[in-house]
Amino acid sequence: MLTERSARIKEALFANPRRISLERACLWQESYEETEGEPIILRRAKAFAHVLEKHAIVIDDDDLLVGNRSESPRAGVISPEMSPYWIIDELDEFSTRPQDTFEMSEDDKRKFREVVYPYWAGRSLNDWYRAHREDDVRAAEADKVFAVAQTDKGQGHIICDFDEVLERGLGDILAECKRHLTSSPKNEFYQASVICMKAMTAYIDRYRILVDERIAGGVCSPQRAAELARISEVLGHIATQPARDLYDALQLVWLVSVALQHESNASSLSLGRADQYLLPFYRASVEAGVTQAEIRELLQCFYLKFNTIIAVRSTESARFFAGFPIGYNLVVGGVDEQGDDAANELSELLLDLQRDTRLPQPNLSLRVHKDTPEGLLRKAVEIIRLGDGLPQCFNDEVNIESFVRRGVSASDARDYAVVGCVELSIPGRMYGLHDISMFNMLKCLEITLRENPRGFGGFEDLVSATEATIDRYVALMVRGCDTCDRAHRETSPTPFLSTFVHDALEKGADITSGGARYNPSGVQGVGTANLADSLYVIKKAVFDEKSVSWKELLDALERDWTGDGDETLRQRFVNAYPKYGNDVDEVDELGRHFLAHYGREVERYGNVRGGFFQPGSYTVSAHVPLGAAVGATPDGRRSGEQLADGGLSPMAGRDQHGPTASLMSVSKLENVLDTNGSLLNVKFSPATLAGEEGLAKLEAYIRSFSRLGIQHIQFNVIDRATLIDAQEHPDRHRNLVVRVAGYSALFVELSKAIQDDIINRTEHVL
Amino acid sequence: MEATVTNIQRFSLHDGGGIRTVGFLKGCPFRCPWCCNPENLSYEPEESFNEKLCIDCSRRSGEDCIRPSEECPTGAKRLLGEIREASDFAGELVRDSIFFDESHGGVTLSGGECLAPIERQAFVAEVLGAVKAAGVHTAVETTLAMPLSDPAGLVACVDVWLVDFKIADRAESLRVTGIDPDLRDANLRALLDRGAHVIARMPIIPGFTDARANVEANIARAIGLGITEADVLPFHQLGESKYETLGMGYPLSGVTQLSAEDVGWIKELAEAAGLHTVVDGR
Repeated sequence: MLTERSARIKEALFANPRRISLERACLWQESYEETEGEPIILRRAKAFAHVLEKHAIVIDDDDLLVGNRSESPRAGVISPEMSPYWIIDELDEFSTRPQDTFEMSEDDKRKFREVVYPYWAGRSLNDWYRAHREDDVRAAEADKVFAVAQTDKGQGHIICDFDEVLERGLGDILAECKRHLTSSPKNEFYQASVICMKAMTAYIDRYRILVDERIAGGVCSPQRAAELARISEVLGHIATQPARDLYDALQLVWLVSVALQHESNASSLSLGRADQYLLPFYRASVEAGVTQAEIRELLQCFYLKFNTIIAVRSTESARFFAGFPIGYNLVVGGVDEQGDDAANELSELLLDLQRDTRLPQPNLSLRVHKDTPEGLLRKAVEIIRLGDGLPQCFNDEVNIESFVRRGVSASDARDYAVVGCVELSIPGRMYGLHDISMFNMLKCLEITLRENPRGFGGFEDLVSATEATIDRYVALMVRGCDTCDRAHRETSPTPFLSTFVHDALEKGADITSGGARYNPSGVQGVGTANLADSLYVIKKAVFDEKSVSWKELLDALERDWTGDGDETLRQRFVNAYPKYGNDVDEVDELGRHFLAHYGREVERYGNVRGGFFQPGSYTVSAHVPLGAAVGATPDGRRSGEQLADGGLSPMAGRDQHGPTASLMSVSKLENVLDTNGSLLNVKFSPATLAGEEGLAKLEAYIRSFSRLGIQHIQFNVIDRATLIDAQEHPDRHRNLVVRVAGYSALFVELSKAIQDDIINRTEHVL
Repeated sequence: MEATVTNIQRFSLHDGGGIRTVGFLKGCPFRCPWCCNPENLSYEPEESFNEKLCIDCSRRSGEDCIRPSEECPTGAKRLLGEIREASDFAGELVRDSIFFDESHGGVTLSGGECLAPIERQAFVAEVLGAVKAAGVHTAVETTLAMPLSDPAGLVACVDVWLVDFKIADRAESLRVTGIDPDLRDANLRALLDRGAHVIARMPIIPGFTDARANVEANIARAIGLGITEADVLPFHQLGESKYETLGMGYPLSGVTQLSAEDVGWIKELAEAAGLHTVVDGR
């Protein structure tokens, strides 16, 4: 349970409407106006330092941990230096747009129009990207096969080396930066790094001084005065020294996280393996006699802080990533450097906190392997049953090998963690551009069909032609990604972040210039299920049975199934042919073939930082807009209808043989190829997970998932809304099976009265 | 050997322990008025029609549709019952063996009455023998109210017997359902003597099996046989729409469903008598 203090903090998070804040934008601009003509990395370092020195810092009466990115929590902090364009276009729509709304004052709007926008127009990251993007890449983006991301915001998607921050302290890291600068005085990265690290120390001092002023003001209760004195002592220490205990460690991780946001303003500056790097400090606190109740409250405060920062995205981007996901992914469990189980007493506690906070951040992840202890897995399934979709499970049995195959050392690979939603990264050693593009494979089929109105001699020719379309667009996508990569290098280096990523200090290079040890670019292949389903229908109906001609098929698709008899054809395509996700080898094989083809094509390309492109497969919420870009497809999809969700999931409602069969289908993919991470959503009803038995079955399901070598799984709970939708659209929900002893039926086949009864019993029997 | 199969349901959770795949065999010699799987009463393949899924593609709605079921684009009209060969059927039943292994689950054969007629017992033995040979745990759901051709052979391939205890009074049971509980008990003795693991399944049907005397008599019979486990299955109405799609009348229309709380007293009685008891099945 939340303590009274934590409950008040949580309530305050949502007490006021979210607002757009111009504070950072104005400070950044103030600094840039002073540094015209200087090297870009120094301008960025100075702007960062200026924000840290000037932005309004606050201490709330309930705070045990201090540090705020914006004056009020959950503000929309905009970065016109990345792109002022979408902001000016949408200035009047923040409060009314369909997804992720914000309030914005008329004064701020005017200020943005008159002061901020005119300064950044022509100078932003986005300007650089658009000026350097090649024409054929631009044309291909218009075809909506892929869209290059992070062209209007920070790159993010990285985990800094929190182990070192905590164990060495900021002072020691600053000393290292200074040593490097002494031996290479002209190195601009070292110059920038020293500026940033000094600014960080001063930033912590600002908070300490504010706390001391609060104490000196003398208006707080003796109890609060004692708390403030403790905070002041902690801040005084961690400004330069290593953490001593959990209080120091949490305060330091949080303040570094806040500062990283001030610099990048990006999604997914993630937290890594917190149960590993916090452990020595947790144990020190326990040994020093800090009670579990005190530790729990401190951790609650820590978790709540990560909900004070949200990402404001453009309307378009918010469709792809709805709900302000900021990607504070926090990983527990997994193996250690030697490959042995690394779980500890903190692993379970960090999962259990979700029971208290019930908020989306931190985004909790469990690394599962064959020796994951019973107790930790049991804790995980208890938390999953709460229905928040957390923790997600990641599978060491495939993810580590996947990294090793790409040249990551075994010990680094075993230390992998998660950035953002499901992207796999090596903490403190990898700058992976993990979310740089999504690639719509289904759109490639649509293009192939349109380009070949006369059809093909055989099914294999269609397969080859679709592969060729994929290859053609992959070549364009990687060039677009490289342009974005260079745009960040040329306009938006991140020297503060780079200081905490190996081997930037050793190499003397910002991560945007190749300073990290590992430098992949991650691009996601999307549409596997719909592509496999569509090709299988064509294979059977057009080539094997010859029951539909090529022209009839293309005409029906072109009409979006609106012609006479089209709906009959569509229904037949949906129902008469097996679909990916039902453990039917023939159709699953098509999914395997194309996702593997995409992956092998992608990995042929190097990027501008000396790394390689690597495939992943996830959509988050992008299956909706990506589907909107594709016309009707032979799997029975209507024009604009969403794609299969997740990345590897079957098309909604088409996985009629339950969650074991769908897992078997996914296991047939070459999952080890998707080093960048893949996403599988599975839905369970509350009844499935009820009682001791339900927990045991979910544990068994997760152990099976691990044995099957699938990278990721996330559990959602089937809710009332789903069942009500199933009453209205039975064709979309033929995968809802009623599970009662000795009985067999689908939910959609029950009478309305019985369905209502099930809905009113909150899905007791599904 | 061959038999008619209506459905293979993976990820079943209440049919003999763990995550299971249940194979439903078509046909039953008995007629329990509360049957929730009416598609498994007849031994012959039969058509069902679900109006909700029909898009009226033949312009002749509902029962007047002239299309044969194999041409129905939506699956509104379906032919229930497919003749399956034992080894092929067994191969499909064990596809989830990783999940069985991790959850202590397995394969369950159900119906209908999977062990009737007597000739079908050899099919069941062949299927479950193959399943067991693949290292998978096996179960059957049965009334056990028929002669057994080879009790020893069945015990060798069935790990758990889920055996119905419905109407305890022999005359009443024969009159209402056709099930002979004395024959069942004789079979149970033969199986238990050979080391069979038996769980008594007690469907609780208002007006048929829920009288205290009937419950007590069932418990007494189970205890008398040396059975130590029971599943109490509260009545549900989930079968009703299947009667409609098969064009059959449903005898228990409108009878109120029971909750776990409603049958709590039965669980208590059974536990008190020494039966380890689970509501809704394990």
